This record gives sequence, structure tokens and C-alpha cells, in this order.
Amino acid sequence: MDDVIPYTVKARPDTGLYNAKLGIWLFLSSEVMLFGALFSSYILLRLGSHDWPNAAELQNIPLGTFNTCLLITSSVTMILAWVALKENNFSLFRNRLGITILLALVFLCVKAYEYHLKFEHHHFPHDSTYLAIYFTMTGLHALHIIGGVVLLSYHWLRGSVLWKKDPERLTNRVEVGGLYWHFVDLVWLFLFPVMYLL
Amino acid sequence: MEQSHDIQKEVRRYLMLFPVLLVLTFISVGISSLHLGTTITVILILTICVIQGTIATLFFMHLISEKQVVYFLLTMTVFFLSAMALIIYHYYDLPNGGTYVP
Repeated sequence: MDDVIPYTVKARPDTGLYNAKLGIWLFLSSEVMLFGALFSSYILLRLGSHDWPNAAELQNIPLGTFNTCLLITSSVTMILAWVALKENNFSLFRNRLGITILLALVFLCVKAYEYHLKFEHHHFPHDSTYLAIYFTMTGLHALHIIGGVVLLSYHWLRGSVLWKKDPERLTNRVEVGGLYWHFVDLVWLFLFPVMYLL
Repeated sequence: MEQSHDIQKEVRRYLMLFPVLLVLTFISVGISSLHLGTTITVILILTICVIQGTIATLFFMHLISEKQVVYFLLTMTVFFLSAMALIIYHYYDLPNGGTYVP
């Protein structure tokens, strides 16, 4: 009996996608619903409030801008890591993925520092609707970043094993990991202006 | 050979879009500090945001060359998300419903 899972590398003839790619798009759809519900809540709360604080006065915009640049850069290094695998250059892949992970960790450090500044100024989630939704959305996003770091670190540490056995499968896995990473970046591209600039 | 050429073309595209995304971020920050009025600021910043999002999804997530099943999946997601939001907004008395806690 052949117990190999089909379509882990080659695309299914009906969907044109390999298993993991169909899976990640289904997962990202559920993520769109999750963050979409939170953004809808934000709009509803903001439109329904009689007053809303000026985000620019509460937030450290230079730090937020720096973090946005970090995530954009990490998206580029992530896709370049995948390109390196396509070009059969594993060491270049590892370097580029390493930079991506490093940028994500710096992002988390900056975010933690921002939270520290908020708490130092006695700005807690229970203090206002704005702060409640700010901590909920940025906290959930930070959890996604942590999840991404775990996933990418696994590929960085253990990728060589699969690369020797089945390089095409690793390339597909990295592509799927990249799709998740770009989605996390995309969420931040919307979170930053909504929470810091408007 | 042809595949290698295609990859190089893609890399050039990513490297070209990278500064575009960064510049758009700085433009958003600049607009927010100009005090153009709430409506204009919201429209301009959200427009930039949508442009950045479009670049990220179309090129970095390769949605521009994705299979039909992915488009179908995303269309369904947008449909259900919009339905959820519109139903809630419809039954929510906006002017008095939300409470701002200073």
C-alpha cells in the first residue's frame, strides 16, 4: 500500500494548487474574517463615540514608522529567501531568512518598548475605548508575529534536512510561510495608519 | 535559462516595489502632520493604505497570477465579511450607541 500523501509538491489537477497552498489560503481567509471583525468593531466604536482621542498625541509616531519600515523590509527579505531556494542557493536562503527573523525580533522589541512607555504613562486597556482596541489589535498582531518567528525559525534551523531529501517540498513550505508573513505585514500596513495616524 | 530570467525579472520587481512601499509610508506620516482636516486626512491616508495593501497582495503574495480557486475563496471571504459588518451596522444606533470613555 502506498502511504505517501499526494499533492505535497505537485499541484492537484482540479484546483491547480498543492495541498499546503490551498490550506494557507483557507487559513488566511479565516484570518481576514478575524481581523476584519476587529477593524469593523473599531469603525463602529469610533463612529459611535462622542469624542475620540488624537492618536498622534498618544502614540510615538517615529517608533511606529520605524516598525512599519522593518516589516516592509522583512517582507522583501522573505520573498528573496524564497527566490534563493528557487535558484537552488540554500546558504543564500538561510542568510535572507535569518535577516527576516532578526527584523521580526526587532519589531517585537520595539513593540514591547512602546507598551512599556504606555504603561509608564498609566495608559492601560481599561482606560478608554481607543486604548482597549489599540492593545487588542496590536497585541493580536504581535502574537501573529511571534507565530511567524516560530515558523520561520523552524525552517531556518531544520530546513537543511528537508532540502537534502526533497528540495522542492522545502521551497513550497517556504512559499506558504512567506504568504503568511506577507499577510501579517499587510495587517500592519492597515493597523499603523488606523492606530497611529488617524 | 528562461526560468532564471523570469526569476531575475521578479527580483527586480520586488526591489522596485520596496522603496515605493517605504515612500508611501512616509507620505502617510507626512499627511497626518499637515492638519488638512479630518475627512481629507482620512481619505488620503486610507487611499495610500489601500495602494500599499494592493501592492503587497498582488505582487508579494502573487495574487496577480494565482489560480481561480483562490480568487473564489477570497471573494467569498469578502462577501461574508461585508455581510457581517453591514448587518451589525444596520442594527446599531450609531450616534447614541457607542460610548467614549475618557
